[in-house]
Amino acid sequence: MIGTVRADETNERELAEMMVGRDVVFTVRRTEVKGAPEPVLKVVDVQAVDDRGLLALKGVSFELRKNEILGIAGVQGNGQAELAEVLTGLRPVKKGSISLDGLELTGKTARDFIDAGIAHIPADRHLRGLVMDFTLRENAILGRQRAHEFAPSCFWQDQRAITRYTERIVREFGVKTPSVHVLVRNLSGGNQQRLIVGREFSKGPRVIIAAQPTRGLDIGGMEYVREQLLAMRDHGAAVLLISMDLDEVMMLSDRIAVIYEGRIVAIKDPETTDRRELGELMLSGSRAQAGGEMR
Amino acid sequence: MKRSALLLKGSSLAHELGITALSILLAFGISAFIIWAAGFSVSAVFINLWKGAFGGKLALGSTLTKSTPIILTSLSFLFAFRAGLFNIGAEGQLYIGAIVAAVVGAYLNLPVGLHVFVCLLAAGLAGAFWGWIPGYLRAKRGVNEFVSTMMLSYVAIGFTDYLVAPRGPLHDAKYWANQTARIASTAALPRIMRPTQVSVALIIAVFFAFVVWYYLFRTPAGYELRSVGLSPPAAEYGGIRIERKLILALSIAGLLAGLAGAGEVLGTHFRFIGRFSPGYGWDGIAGGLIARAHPIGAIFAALLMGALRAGGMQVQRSGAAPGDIAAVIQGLVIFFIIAPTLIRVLIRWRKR
Amino acid sequence: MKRLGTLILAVLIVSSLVVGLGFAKTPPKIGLILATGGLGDKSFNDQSFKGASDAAAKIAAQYGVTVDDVLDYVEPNDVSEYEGYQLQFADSGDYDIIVCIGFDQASALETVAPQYPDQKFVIVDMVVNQPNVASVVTNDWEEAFLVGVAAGYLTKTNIIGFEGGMEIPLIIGFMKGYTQGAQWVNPDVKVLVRYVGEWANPTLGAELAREMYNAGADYIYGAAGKSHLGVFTAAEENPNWYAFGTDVDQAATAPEHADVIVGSGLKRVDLAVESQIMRMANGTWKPGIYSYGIHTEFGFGTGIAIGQLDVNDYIRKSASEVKVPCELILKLVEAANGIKDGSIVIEH
Repeated sequence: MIGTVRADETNERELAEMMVGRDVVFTVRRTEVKGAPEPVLKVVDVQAVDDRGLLALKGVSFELRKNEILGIAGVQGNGQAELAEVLTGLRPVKKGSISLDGLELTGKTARDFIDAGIAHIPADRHLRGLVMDFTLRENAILGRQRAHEFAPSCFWQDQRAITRYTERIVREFGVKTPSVHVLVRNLSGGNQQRLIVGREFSKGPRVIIAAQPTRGLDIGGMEYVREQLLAMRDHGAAVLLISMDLDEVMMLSDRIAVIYEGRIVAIKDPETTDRRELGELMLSGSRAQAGGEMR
Repeated sequence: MKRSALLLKGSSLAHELGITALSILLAFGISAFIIWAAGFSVSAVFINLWKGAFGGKLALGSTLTKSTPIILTSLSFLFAFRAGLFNIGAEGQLYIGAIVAAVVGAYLNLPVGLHVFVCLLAAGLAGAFWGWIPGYLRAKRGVNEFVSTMMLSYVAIGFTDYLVAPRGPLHDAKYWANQTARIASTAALPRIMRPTQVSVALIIAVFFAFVVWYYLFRTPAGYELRSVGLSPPAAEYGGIRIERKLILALSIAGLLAGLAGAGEVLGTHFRFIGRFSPGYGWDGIAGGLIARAHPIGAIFAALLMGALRAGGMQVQRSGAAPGDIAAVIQGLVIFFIIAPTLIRVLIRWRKR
Repeated sequence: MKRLGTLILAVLIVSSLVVGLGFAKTPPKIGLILATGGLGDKSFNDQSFKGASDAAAKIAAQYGVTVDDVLDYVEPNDVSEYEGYQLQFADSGDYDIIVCIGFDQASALETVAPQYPDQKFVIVDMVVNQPNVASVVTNDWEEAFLVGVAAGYLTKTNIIGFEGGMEIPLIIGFMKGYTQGAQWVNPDVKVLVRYVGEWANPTLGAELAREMYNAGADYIYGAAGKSHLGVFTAAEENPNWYAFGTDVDQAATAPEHADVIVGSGLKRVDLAVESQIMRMANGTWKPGIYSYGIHTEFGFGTGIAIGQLDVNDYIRKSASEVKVPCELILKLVEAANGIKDGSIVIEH
């Protein structure tokens, strides 16, 4: 027990410091990136249908650039989930095109998306991100189980290499676990997410699709994931951040796109926009007054 | 305690073995009561049960002979189960494999080693085909494989009945019974424990248990299959083609059951006898569950079931009780061992 | 002199004790493997069992033990179980004779008999040529011929039926004998034939019987083990429908149907089995082919049970409630004599 404060006498920052035990950075510093941003992922007029057969994406277009975090702000249910799935090969595209460095990915399988260098931190880590009844090491290679370093031939898995790889991820990404042979089901949510982040980022991806990456995590976990996303951006990755947490989106993104009813209705510069404007766009699809628009 | 945990770590294995032993004791206890209530001698029944299963070379031979096909049908069930599928059709796949082995064995002339290999290959492929059908239907059309595999079983049994009936194309007129001609001696699997019926088929079955273990736990394909069984969304996320895996899983399950049938034809009876299986395919379902879906466990589960069958025959022969009593004991043992697992499986089934 | 007398007495006492102990040996044991379909068929299996039990009872009485001590039997569920049981019985070494009932045990016996050359085997209804096997075969067609005579004589529609277990030479023999017997007494008669395909399916047996009855047959005979019981069930459904039993007087073994069973063919498997076992007990058993029938060395074996009287070896009385005319009995005597002296030749 660290201390007791009255609810109306404290603020978020103080509480966070008390919980984590040190100064928590609420605003992260984004380093300026020199030179013209190169587009890496081109999404052109993509339409897709949801699980009920209704059109969830009604013509989405944008570019994802190197060294950049593009945040997708929107109220849950406006197509974000389908967008993440379409960009990782988990949902077929009805119309439009998706290409990575000129390589056409429309209509390809999840396998192709993974092989092309697109990493995915899924919104539902228990359903998509992990096989709960697999161990840490089995989950560490999910998506790359056929990679040469883990399976030199289809008849043999290099068990030691897999263990070493997992131990590295555990070390580098601070996953708290008694061993890599433990079932992932027995880890805390934060540690599970660290494993997923570690796995996805260790691939050295060109593109990262991060959907609700800090949902359900404690302060320390959230901070960690955000730092990692920024680090990947700094090192050249193109990051798509889909989040319900508007503060998070504003804090981390270089550009913010607002999604409303399956369309990108605006792309804003976080320096020049504010919560109110974004909020209006998220809720109604249009803004009350004209403001700085970004391409 | 999660199903997969016990496969890797020793501590929970001891736990599961303990539960299994307790279940057997409980089953025997209730059987003893039923035997007593029916007016038979409990000690005579159990003594003969043991005698028939392990009391001497011929008894052991009888146990091993009956266990052999059950090893393979248990593997068949558990392999599909690992992919999240219920293969209820091992009995039919077994008959299909058996009749193909009988035909290739009787009507082809090949040198010794090659002939056996070709028979097994043909039987395996035939069984695989019989498993492929429901696999395809499930993957591409969402047809419930529990039902389709069961129905195809009856089709296979009926079809083979027709083939060896007196007017059927494969009926051997020499002996009048519903059976095919004897296979060539070059196709026969050598007996390894004379004068019992135990043959090389037992070695083949045990070999496949290890092959299945290796496939599931040491190859990337097996990894992918298990992930499909545990979490299809995560498997899909990992780039795995779920439909392909489902079809492959049921095809291989069919192949394993087909080999069970081939083993019986090439090693035990040397011909296809109509309705020769006393339910080895259905036993495989129980065997797979008793083994907690673990391939090596399947060997022991099959031994248990073979022992119960062999012991039951001796109970009947000795007159200690009618053969039906043995069936009751078998049923109770199977029930008590798989009850906890079955409940867990049914819960997972309901969630689908 | 007294010492010599005592010595002789002592020797006599000791030797009689030794001889007496010799007789107090364990009795010979019989192993019986019944045909699939099991007991309760009220004909073939039951009769074989009766023969074995009668022999066992005689032996048991001789040794002062019970029938259970002498006779062990099993009811296999499937053809594939025969070899296993034969092996078990033979390997135990406990049985002085192993009796295998049913033609479908032959292929298994061909494999097992050579492995135990000192074990005596008997097989009923098929020939297995091994030096330790006695094959008991019966001229079934003679039984069928006599029943055919009765059916052909009694029919008012000139259509009669035959229901076979499986379409194999054994049963085809029955069918042919039946047809020839019917045509011998009634050249215009027509015979309908159906095969059940199974030995223990009375429901299907009843269905096929109904088919024939509805097609005009008024008397149905057959050779289908337990399935044949279905014929009686069907016959009960109409006062004009009648049936014949097989191998044993089924009006007696299945008295609930005595009102529809006019008579039954006889196949004395019970006597044959008993005879084989008693030979073993007497030490006169020999392997080989034993053919029973009217036209064979052993005389008894086949016949018909019909009417109120035991007329001769081949025409016995029946527990049937149905009365038959005297002329039929005379015809049957004529037929039986014809078979015996060879003037009637039955093609089978």
